Amino acid sequence: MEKKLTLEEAMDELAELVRQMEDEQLPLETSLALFEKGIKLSRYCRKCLDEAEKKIKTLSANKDGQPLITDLDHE
Amino acid sequence: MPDDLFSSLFPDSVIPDLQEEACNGSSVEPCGRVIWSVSSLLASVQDRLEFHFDLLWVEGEVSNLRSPGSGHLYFTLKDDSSQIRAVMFKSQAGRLPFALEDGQHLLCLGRVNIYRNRGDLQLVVDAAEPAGEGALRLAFEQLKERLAREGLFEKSSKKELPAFPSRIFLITSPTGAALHDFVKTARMRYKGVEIIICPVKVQGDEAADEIIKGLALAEHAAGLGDVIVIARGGGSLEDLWPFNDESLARAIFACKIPVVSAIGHEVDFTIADFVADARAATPTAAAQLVVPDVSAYEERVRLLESRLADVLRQNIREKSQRVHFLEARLKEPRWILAEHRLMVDEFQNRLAQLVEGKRAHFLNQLASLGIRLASCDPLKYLSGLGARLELLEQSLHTSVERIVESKQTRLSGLAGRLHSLSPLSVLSRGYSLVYSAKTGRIVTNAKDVGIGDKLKVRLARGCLECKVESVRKGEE
Repeated sequence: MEKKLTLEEAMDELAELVRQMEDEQLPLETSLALFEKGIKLSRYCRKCLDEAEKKIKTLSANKDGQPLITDLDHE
Repeated sequence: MPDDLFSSLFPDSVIPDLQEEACNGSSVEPCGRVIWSVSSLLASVQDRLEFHFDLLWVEGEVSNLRSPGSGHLYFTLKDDSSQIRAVMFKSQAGRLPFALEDGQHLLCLGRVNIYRNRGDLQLVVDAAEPAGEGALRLAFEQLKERLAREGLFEKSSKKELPAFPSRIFLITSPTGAALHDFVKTARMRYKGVEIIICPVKVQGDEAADEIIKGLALAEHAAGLGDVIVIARGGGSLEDLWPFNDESLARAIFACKIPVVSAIGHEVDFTIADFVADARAATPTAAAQLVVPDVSAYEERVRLLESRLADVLRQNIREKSQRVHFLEARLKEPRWILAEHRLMVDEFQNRLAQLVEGKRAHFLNQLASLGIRLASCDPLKYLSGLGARLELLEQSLHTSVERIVESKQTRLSGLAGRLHSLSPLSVLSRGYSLVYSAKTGRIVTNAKDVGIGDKLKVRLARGCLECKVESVRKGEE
């Protein structure tokens, strides 16, 4: 995938692709290509969903008043 | 105020001796009666009042409110059985956050004194607020109304929450239950979302400022697809008061990142709730609102995946079925033959039917022609002709006979007449006929004859052949 899709976008694209495959009489070659693309999309969705647990962080201001995000030590 | 209560409150104070004090502004008669002047009495009462009742809070209902040109407020504060005059001077009245009204239940901070001109007891009010929770409630309602008028709560200016936020900035107390509830629910729904806690005080005088600063910091750090949550657990109206701060409301309204409020319990509404882009009843509800439930998405991906595979299988199945079908047809040319044979049969049948139809038609025609032909039998015609001929012959005979007969009759008549006219009979009377021998014509004029011409002369009996000797022309 060229640009980084959001999960929503990837899922919508996958749904559209499945619909296309269901609705249209596609040549086998095309439907194989679509299938391959669909599998890639669904893997991507799964990857997004299975994304490793994100740490909880804290936001504070550094001495210049700029936001500073640090890992929460406790918890 | 009873003395024992008074002394318990002000243990160091000494109850002054009324008798002793009275001597200062009054005279003592020889008989021992103490006589007060009005002024000294009032001054003394005033002193005592000031001594006993310093600054104090009085609760009562406002009535007879008047505001003359001076800008001071005059009213009566009363309860079920008693009333006291009250005055609020212009400078204090101007600081009042709300407008006084008759019937208002008021809590007044002030001093009791005597208005010496009239000897009235009065309450000089420094500050006032609606009684009970009413003060905060009133300020809340008034701010809410004002901000609503300004359009801070308009639906049209509310931002949409991202369906799948990348980061959540949680502005809350680092030790509160709100943080715990929010994080717990959020983690249950989706662990892949980043939660950044922005610790602030959520109670007390500094809370509003801290929350505003936290909001500014979060807005600065956040980007597209992020969302800010301001959360606090339940509490009293006073506890939640920082969230009714006007500056905070304006900061939330101006924030470019979507802000979700989750303050108190279901029943609690703060100004922040009204101005936020979305309001969650509780911190837990906020987590449910902001963090997508990943299991629903997982289910959807699973479903789409299986449909994807199904549809491909289906496509392959259809294609191979078609191949089978075509193969089968390829192996069985006889089917085509049989089909053609059937077609030929059918055509033959149709042809036979056609022929049969034509034949019947022709037979019909023939029969009718036969009938017509029979009606024109030549023999009959001939016999007819014969009969006619016979008839004609007959009539011919009769007419011929008749004609012959009439001709004979006429002939005999004519013969008689002819006989009477015959020149020969003239000749018998002595006349003769002269013919030119050359032309054979009768000669009636001498001019026609030359000398030497031969003439034939017919007599009643016999002929003479003569030669002309001379010719005399003229009459005679």
